[in-house]
Amino acid sequence: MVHVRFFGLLRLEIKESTAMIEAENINELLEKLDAKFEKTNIKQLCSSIIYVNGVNMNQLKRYGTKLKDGDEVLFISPVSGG
Amino acid sequence: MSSTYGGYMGKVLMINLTNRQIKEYPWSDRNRELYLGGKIMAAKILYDNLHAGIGPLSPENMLVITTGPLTGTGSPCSSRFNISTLSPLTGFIAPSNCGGNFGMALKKAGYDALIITGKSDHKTWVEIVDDEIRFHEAEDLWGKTTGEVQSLLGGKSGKIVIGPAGENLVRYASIVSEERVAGRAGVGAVMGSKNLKAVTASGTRTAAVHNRERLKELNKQWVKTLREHPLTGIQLPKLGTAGLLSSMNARKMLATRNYKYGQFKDFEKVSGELLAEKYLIKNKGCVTCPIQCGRVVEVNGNAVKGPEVETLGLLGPNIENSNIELILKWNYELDEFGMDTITAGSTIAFAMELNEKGLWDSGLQFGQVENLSQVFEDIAFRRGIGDVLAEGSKKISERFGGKEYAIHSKGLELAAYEPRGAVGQGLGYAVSNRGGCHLNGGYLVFMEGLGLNMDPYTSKSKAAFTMMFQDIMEAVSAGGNCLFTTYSMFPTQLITEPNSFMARSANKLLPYLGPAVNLANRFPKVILSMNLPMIPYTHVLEAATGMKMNFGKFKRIGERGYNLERVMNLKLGLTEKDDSLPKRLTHELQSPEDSRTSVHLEKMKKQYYRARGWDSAGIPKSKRLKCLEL
Repeated sequence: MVHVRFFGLLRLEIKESTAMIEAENINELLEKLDAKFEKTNIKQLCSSIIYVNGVNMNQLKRYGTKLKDGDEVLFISPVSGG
Repeated sequence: MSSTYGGYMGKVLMINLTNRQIKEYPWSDRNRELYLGGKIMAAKILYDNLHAGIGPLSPENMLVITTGPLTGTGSPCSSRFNISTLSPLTGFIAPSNCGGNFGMALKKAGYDALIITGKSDHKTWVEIVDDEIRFHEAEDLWGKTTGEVQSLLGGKSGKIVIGPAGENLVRYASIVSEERVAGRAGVGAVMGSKNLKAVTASGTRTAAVHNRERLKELNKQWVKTLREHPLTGIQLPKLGTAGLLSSMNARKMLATRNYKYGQFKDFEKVSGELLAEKYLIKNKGCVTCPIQCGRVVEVNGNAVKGPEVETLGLLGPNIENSNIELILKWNYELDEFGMDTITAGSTIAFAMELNEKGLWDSGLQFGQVENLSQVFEDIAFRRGIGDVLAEGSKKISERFGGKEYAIHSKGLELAAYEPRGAVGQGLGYAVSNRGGCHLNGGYLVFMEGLGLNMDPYTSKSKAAFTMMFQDIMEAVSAGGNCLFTTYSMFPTQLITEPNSFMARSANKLLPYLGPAVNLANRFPKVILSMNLPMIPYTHVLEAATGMKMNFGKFKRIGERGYNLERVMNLKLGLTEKDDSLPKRLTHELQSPEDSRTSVHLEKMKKQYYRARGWDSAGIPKSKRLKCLEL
């Protein structure tokens, strides 16, 4: 199981802060999250800043990044500003 | 001395509290063209009137309260006003900006700026009603909190007030207007040193503008842009600046345990998301603001202003506190005492580390925070350890040691962005004219992860971008707008689709754009002589004032302001050595296994000085000053 944590506007929209999901890579994780949460969609999830165990997925294999049991994946809404 | 330009009231009021002399300070249209208003206007007034050797808390120091030409013209986010003075924390020039109602009220009374000098021989407050200036006894207001004194003064006038911290010369005391605060660098202590508890302003005048119809149309379009932009229209209204904290933690740029670390294990417990989900009553903003980033939360049954991200960070992770309810309470208490939450939080963290290392038995410990309300009260009234803490980190380190982890630059404590996770922000903190300020430093952290995703560890191009953003923000502030309006300049797609090919390519390209940015920095008139559609300021300023304005001129005004503040600081004794950071940030790696995780300051400083046309000692070359008409 992968431990998914949500931050930013995404978390306010889906009204959940975490989820435990079985997935082999980011692509599969995105599909499962899309199916699980009605209030988000694949486009919004794909536009999130995604960290796998503290590393931005763009520095890994992007959507093809492999996941394993116990991994932590952060989804952060892209907009910030302060 | 009236003005032929619109937007201005054409008068600057000067009050000497020592002899109660009131006069009009000369300020010409040429000055308006060169310095626009706000903090740049204030820098010019301070430069012309103050010299080295004047103590920040002496009667000779001045409080210069300025508005911009857009203040009171209906331009979005334009209720802001500026207070500049010599800072009791740094000894250098310190502008502090505020979104309260005083600026607009001052203009209604007929003045673009108010200069306060001298010292009253008794506790006083000043009332400005159009042309009439009245002095009142303030004995019965002394000791009152900022909320209490504003209630007691009542009426519909615009107000600036100090609390007990300002009265007792706490070096980081603030000035408060409504619930908004000119928080940084100790402007409230300067007001207290003059025995001045409050100033109110009211009047019946309105600023004439050059082309009202055009201005109205431009303002309408600008409000629409701000409301539609993902940052100013969605993120800031929903999460406030507090929404940054989780992103900062993910990117290892959240000040934790007196900046020893960049991440906090319990960050979620003090996050903007939790604030929005559990404590937010509603969002709120300054007058004329379509963004409404302010938080309203409940403390002891009262609806009060909620904390900004800097306060959450410095009174949360930086002191190892994970109780957000305490932060909401402290934020309210610190505003009521009239004290800067950033410096207060950072000074407490430093005292905790000194205690831990056996250098000063302050009794303060990381994570042991239940008694901090009492500590804040002790600071405000300078009792016990509060009397020491009221001096700020720099002076405490001079007394007890620990300079390498006293987290300040030039005496002003840093905001909650840990610069080893965003090294360009580190450069900004170090070279900022008012000391360790995230905004005056250029706010590069936005490009280094909190908006765009430029490599946060490379020093490439950071100097050029720092100069560019410092100058633009300087000019935006001088015009009278909130700095948050600058977010709408950034193309939406780069922000909302960070994983797209375009955004990833742009982020990879940014570190190589330094030479081009330097060219634009150096020759803004030639390269940027057009009115850029995504930069509304030039159009709006032209419609409001009638001044011919383009981006090059606008940026040049900002550069002039930045250099003027620099020259003022040099006059006050600043040297290149003052553009510094504590060794913890420059010599200690944030991640011991990653050599990129410290601020390579000396290298970036050299690049920055060169970009600015300063010599290796950080002194603007005469050719550059001449070019800037300084």
